[in-house]
Amino acid sequence: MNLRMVGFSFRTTPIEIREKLAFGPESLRIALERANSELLCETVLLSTCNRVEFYLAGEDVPLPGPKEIAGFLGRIHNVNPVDLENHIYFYDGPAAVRHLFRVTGSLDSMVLGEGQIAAQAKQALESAREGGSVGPMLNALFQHARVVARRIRTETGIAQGHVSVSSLAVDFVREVFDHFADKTVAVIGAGKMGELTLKHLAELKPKRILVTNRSPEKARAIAAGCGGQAVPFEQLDDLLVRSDIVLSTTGANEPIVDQARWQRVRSQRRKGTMVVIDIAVPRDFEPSLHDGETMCLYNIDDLQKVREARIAERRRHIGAAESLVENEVAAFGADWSRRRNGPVIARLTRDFEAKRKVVVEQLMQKIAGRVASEDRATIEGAFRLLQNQFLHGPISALAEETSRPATGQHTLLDALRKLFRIHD
Amino acid sequence: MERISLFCFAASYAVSLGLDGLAVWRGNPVFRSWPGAVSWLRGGAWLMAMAGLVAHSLYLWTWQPPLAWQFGGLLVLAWFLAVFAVYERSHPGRISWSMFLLPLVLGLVGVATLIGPPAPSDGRIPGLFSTGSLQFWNTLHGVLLLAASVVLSLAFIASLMFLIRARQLRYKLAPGRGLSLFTLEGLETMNKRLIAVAFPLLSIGMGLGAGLLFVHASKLDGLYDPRVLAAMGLWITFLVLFGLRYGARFRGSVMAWMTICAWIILVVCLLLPHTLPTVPRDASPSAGVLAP
Repeated sequence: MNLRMVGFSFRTTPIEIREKLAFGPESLRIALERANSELLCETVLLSTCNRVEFYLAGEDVPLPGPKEIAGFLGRIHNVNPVDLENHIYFYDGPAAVRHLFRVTGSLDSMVLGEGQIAAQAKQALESAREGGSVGPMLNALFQHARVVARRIRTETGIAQGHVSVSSLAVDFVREVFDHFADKTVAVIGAGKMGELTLKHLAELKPKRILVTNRSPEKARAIAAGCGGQAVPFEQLDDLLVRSDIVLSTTGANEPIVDQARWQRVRSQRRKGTMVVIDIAVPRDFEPSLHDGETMCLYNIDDLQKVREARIAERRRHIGAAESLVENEVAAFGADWSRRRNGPVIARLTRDFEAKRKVVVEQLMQKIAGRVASEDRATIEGAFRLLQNQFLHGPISALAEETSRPATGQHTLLDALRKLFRIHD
Repeated sequence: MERISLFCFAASYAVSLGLDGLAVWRGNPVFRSWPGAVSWLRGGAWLMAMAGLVAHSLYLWTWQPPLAWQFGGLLVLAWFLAVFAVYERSHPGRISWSMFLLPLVLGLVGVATLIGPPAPSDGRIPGLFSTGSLQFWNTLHGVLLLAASVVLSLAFIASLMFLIRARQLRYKLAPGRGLSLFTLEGLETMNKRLIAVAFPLLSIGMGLGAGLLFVHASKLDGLYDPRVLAAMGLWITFLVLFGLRYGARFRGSVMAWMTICAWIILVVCLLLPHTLPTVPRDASPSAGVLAP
């Protein structure tokens, strides 16, 4: 199949170059327009923060190589193409198919099993459709890639569980609480690390979010950002009495909640379990407060440990995912071969069938009455066998050629069309 | 149908439990090469549990063991719990109920087997429960106590799950690992609600029993019946439990342990025989020697 992938990814290209090559929606539209006039083949451009990849295909046309793509990108982004050439990689034919399936199945992602890449590949195809740069092969390939990505996610354990620290924090909260409409979330401090976790906690739609900080301005700013309410830091005890979930991210050098303070708070609490996500370093809550019932306390180490365990668990499923990819590469090759060569093979077979019937009919008329009906069947069978053996060579050669990249303008398919006078 | 034995449905429940156990064994290497295996195992487990329940129902329908016998009480209680287990099994997120209930069902059937049905010559039931003008109240008394037993058994399972969940949280087990259970909050709420339902059932059921004893004035010595005494112990335990439930804030684990204690007393009640004066059991077509 005449397919090529040329690209740059986090595996080969440093972030300084990747950020220069990244495409926004507008630059992507312009790039696809220019690809139509400059690259002269089907083009899908997959651009994420971790990779920029060109998928190129065409029926009987030479495809641009790494140098041409480096030049094309250099012109678009005002980058010296020579700087790009050392980082570029490319795959042809089935290897390109395999690469796309691995990419969309997130086997090639920075975070194994992450789910965004499949959506990004879908978006890349949509953009290429809008830009008019996609044709039958890339359309079929990207559609197939979506199916493969879905199969990898559902049939292997590669995407099991969350692996980001903020999502894991919410997972722990969900182990304790059933519903959140009656829950109070307290945020202590204003660390940058807590922002994403707070965003995830806010998505649970708690009854209220209370924010406290030594700096009242910071507390108000955070509260405004998450639809919460600022509380003076002096009222920390009262805040803890009222809260179900606490996110603590202060920069304090000593724990701000120790045994004595917790006992004081606990005696006033009328609520059940309190879940504390303490992602401050040094820690804000004394680790000994955790008992798994009145207080469930998770610090950054706990979250990291689970994250690493989950990634290790995902890695155990790589083998199954890779073998699924191999099967799908073969399936796509066979499918594409049928789609591309099917009409020519059908026409060839039909023409030979018609000619064989005419020749056999003429022969039968000449030898009419001189052969028994069993012999007639034998003669007809021999002609059919001859036809099959004659066609076997060209059809097999066609299938073999489909699995290799095109090398020039004249393909075996063209040759067959000319040799056997097959016209559309 | 008379060929259905205790072994038939106990074996079905056991196989169902075994299949569920295999399905939750996450480290099972088969699942990596055949991800659909879990669905097949769960489907098989549901079918076996259903088959067990049908056999159990047919057994009870055929032999109709009186509730007043330990044998009958245990089997009927096991049947209700099996119904709940099969119903909960149909909901993908609630399979843990079945995982906990089926061992309990198997245990109750096992104890019933050990006690065994009374011999034909002992086919008598306490006079208090004989048919007569008070048959309705007798029946209501039995039904309420049975309902309280079912609800208390469910509360017992919820308490067990609560303690296991609290342990998982204490050791900071990664979310999704280990046995899949309800949330800590969900289990505590469940336990509280079940206690709130069980206590009135038990109280009214026991009140009726006391009333019946009073009506049968000559049978007041029934107060010294071991089962009646154990039931009074159960009611007192429940009273404390009910107080905890609505009273001051107690840790969920305290409630859970109290519920477990109450359930153990319930089992003792079910195992103790009535020593009330007996009368022959009402003749019924199926009343005879029970299948082992």
